[in-house]
Amino acid sequence: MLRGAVIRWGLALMGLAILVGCKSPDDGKVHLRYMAWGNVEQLALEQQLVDSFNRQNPDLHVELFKVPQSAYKNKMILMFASRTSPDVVRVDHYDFPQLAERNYFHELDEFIQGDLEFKLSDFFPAAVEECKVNGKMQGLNVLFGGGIMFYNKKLLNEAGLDDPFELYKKGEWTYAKMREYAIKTTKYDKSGRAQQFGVNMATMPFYFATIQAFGGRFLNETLDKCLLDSPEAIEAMQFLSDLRWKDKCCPTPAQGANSAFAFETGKLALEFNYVGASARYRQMITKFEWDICPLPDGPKGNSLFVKGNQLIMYKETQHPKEAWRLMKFLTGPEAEQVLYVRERRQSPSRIALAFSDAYLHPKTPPFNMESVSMTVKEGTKLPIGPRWPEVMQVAGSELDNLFAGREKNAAESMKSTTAAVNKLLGEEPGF
Amino acid sequence: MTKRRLVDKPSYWGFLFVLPWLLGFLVFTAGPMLTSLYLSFTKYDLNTIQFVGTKNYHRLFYEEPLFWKSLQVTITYAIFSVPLGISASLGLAILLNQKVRGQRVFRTLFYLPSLVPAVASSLLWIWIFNPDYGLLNYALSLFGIGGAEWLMDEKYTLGAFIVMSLWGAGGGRMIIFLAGLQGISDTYYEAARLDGASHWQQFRFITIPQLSPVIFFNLILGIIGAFQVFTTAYIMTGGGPNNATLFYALSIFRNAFEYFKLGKASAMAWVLFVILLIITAVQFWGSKRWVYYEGEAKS
Repeated sequence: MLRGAVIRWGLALMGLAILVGCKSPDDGKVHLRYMAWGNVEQLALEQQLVDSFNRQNPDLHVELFKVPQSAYKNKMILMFASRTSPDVVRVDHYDFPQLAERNYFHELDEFIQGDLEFKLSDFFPAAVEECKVNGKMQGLNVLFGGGIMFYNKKLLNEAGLDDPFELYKKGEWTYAKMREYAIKTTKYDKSGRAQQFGVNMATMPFYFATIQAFGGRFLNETLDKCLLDSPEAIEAMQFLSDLRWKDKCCPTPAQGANSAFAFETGKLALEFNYVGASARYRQMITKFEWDICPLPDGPKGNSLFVKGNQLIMYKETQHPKEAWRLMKFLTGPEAEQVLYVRERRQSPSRIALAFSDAYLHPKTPPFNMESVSMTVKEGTKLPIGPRWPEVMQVAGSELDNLFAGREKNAAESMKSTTAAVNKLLGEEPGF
Repeated sequence: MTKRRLVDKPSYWGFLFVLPWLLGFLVFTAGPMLTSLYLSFTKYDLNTIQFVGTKNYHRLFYEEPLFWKSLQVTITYAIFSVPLGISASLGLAILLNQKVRGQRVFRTLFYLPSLVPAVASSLLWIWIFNPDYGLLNYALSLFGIGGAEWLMDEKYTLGAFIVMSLWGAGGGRMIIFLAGLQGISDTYYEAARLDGASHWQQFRFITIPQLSPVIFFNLILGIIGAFQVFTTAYIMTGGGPNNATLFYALSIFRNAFEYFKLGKASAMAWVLFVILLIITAVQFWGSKRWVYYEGEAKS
């Protein structure tokens, strides 16, 4: 008798605890969840913005849902699939088309058109373009940016070389010049051991930029055919391979292992990277001066490209209007001022801010912020489609043969890469 | 005769106490397993689901070179790492079973590496395998042997993983061997010594047969473990270079959570299940010839 009562009461208490645990706080506010990832500094800024939004919107309460970067994609996918996603989610553009195809995102055109305060023309066209799926807006761009080049002023001065940004302004910052700089700043000791290198290897997506500058393309416009076997793409990839294996001014995988020649060590003169690395470099680099310049021009044009993250609204959110208010705030002038002008985590996606005096003339390095503004203004969108992870897995394995020196002839490598990627793209998706 | 109430039956309480585990097993193990069996006959991308019959299996066997590559990598790894790991664990257990001063300290020291999380030990091994600054190449250079680009050269990468698998030799497997060794009665060795048996003969004809159930147990778990290598490959090489460390579990993960091919990934998981089932069944069948249980005689 007593045992039965204990069991019944125990079960009742468990049920009550579950119900209480699941219930939203009854404070009369609409509760939203916003999911993002980032390092400690980035998440502190996100929290600061969320707090500011909560103060300005007393009828809403946003909770920042932080997930470590290493687990972010899996967590996000599983939350979408299990219909438990937060209302607003930050998605890396590498994953955006793949997830958009699965119909997880709310279309935003109705909100954009119905909001007189929000104008797409305030944003860089490429930033808007990245958020479109089949012509419909499915996200808003945040942490927008593009590939740039960092340079170690000390190493360039020691080699008697002119400032690359000055060369860029004169239209003389080219891949040929970059190669010359890289060779002149590379040093080996008497035993043949590398002391410093001229440039790092242009990893994905930076080699797409080089291919673009040489007149080639990775994929066609419809993203269903690989074009790496074109003479222009072959020339570009041979150029990059030769920096490492012929000119020996770029660390091999073995030499570069464990970040032995990372830019912040002061042993690398030029670095392909995103401007987002600036925040870390400002903290870590104390022994030499550094700055940034745009990626070099090639024989057939520039190598500027852009890439951002997208803020998306979960399709099944219970509070779409409130979620839109949050999204508008996080891409608004106040948030962009904090994230990009003050902290320079990436580039503003708002044109006016990217060319504002405060952004272009900062008091701490990097000083040549015009490099970033020009990049996001003129840069092209990366060829990222719904099958991007698979495509890059196949292409990456093949291209690795070239970059690791197992295949020194770019023509052979591009031929096999093109065949492998085209085979994949020709197969029925999903198997 | 009065009818016994349900709560008065001993089996009622037995089932009640087993219920949490049983529910957990049904919800978190049996349920997902059956679901994945169904999914393996579908095309499922986490959004839409479509029944496709045996198409996933057909494509795996006939049109998917990376499936065979991942299987080859995993089987090669298992063939080398399992015997090597068992031998190393047994060797360590024998050493740590010797009655020497500081025996407990040694046991603790050798067990410590297995307490290091896989992520941390992977990062440590990346440094050890560094071609320029790594400990391994430095040690080889002391003997005049030129090192290799362990994690960058596809010829050596799998070998590096096999070497690295010895990191866990002092862990749970060694403890089980140690417990097995301590369970062997000294009377066998005394009798053997009286008959003039050498150390090797004692090891070959007493230790090995007496330990054979433990060796068998470790062999089964070792092979299953070798087929499930994931973390180290995910962290250290990402399956490269040129798919040289594309372990089977890593390939399943990629198909499921990077390419959203849940149907194909489920099919791969079931192929793995069947492979392990067959290998384990063969081992049980073969064990009749070499595994000795107490009081059992083999002809």
